[in-house]
Amino acid sequence: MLNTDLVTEAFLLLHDTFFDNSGRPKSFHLRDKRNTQDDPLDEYIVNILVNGLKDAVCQKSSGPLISPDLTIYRPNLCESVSQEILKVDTARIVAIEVKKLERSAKGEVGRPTGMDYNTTLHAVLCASMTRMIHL
Amino acid sequence: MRIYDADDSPLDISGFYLFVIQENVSDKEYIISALALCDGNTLNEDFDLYLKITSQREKEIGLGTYGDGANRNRPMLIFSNPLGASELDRSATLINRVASASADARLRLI
Repeated sequence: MLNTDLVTEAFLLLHDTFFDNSGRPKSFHLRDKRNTQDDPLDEYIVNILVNGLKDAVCQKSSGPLISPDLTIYRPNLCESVSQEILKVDTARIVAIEVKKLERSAKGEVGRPTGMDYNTTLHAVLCASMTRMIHL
Repeated sequence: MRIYDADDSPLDISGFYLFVIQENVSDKEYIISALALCDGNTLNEDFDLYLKITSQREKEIGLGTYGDGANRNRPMLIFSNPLGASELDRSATLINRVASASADARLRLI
């Protein structure tokens, strides 16, 4: 069985959730923020991937200041695989960082830049991953 | 991107950035009016720089006139945002250097 690219799988899930067949945005409900670092959209996106990816695990970071926001992986394909392969094979494992931007009153994207490295910790995978990845 | 397993061993894996424009349309109702899922290496391939900025840091305390100041030592580097390009606005785009991304019939190569 051919293992598909996890990035493509995630992209198609997000596209189908947020856009209709004509490419128009679909509205969705978000809960209120609980505190400054809380991000309901991150949580919403993780739930899309958790429920939509049938043969892969989507793990959210353990805290708001931890990067990346989520990691997607196929546990069985990460078993007994070298670091070099895991570093490049996005059918096995990939990390995603969410960058939310706003649109100005004029309809323009809020800022021309947006990818920032300002996090203080890296994500820690679940304990079971320790047994699956041989480092 | 670098992650760690439960034994605190580092593991470097491919990283993507999901840029989204979130707009409020009514009370607690939102839309994503533009989306780009972008290979991090497309924006920056300098992994040493990434590690330098994202490593764990010590917070300095006791700073300032009254000793109640603190420095969180959180540098911030800013790189390009694909949605800053008008061609990618108001649409969903996958920016991927892996050729298999074009294998799905639902994707249109641009």
